[in-house]
Amino acid sequence: MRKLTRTSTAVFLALILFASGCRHNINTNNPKVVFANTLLAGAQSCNLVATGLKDANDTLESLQATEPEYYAHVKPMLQSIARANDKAIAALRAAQAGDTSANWQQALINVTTAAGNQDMSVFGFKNPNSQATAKIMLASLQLALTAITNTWGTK
Amino acid sequence: MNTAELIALLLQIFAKYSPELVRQVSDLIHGNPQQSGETDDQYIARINTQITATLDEAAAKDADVEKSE
Repeated sequence: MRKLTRTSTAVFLALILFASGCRHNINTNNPKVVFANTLLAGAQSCNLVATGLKDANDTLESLQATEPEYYAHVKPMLQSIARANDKAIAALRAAQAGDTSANWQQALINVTTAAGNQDMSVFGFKNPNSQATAKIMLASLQLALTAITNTWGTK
Repeated sequence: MNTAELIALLLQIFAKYSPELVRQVSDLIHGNPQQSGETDDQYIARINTQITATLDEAAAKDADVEKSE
């Protein structure tokens, strides 16, 4: 099952990478339409990250009793990513309201920067099964961050 | 197993622990196309409503992660 999960994660990741180049939603060159459609993609990126964060956080809460050190290690990282995502949300709201100086694309890239390059599933776990749980709990978030990097740019 | 069956299986696996993720990836793939006969202004209004709802949804989840800080 673990192998199947790994395989499915890889294929799902490939689908997301493929997805970012698949949006053919509009048949106009009207810049306002193009802008609205681009903002929607940005909003969906924020929501994808938020879903990954919530998935990870829910599982982390269930690990708190058995892996308190891991909880204390990872919780601040998830919160840091959430704060960066909040900034991207605020920038998107500003852009939607007409603020042309709102750099929401950079704010989205900053979300991946906040995540850093550290593998959050690597830790000196007390229970040997916890690492597998951590990998699964972080899969959604990792997929979302990869999709952002692929769609909006690199760190 | 053909590609469609594989994708269906994968979606089922992910749906078990994150139905929202599946929906959102589907949104990301399909976007929200402009309908036939829909004017640009109508489309922009509809998309703006969806942007606001999507951002509200994301902010609520972020707040859930941050609240125990």
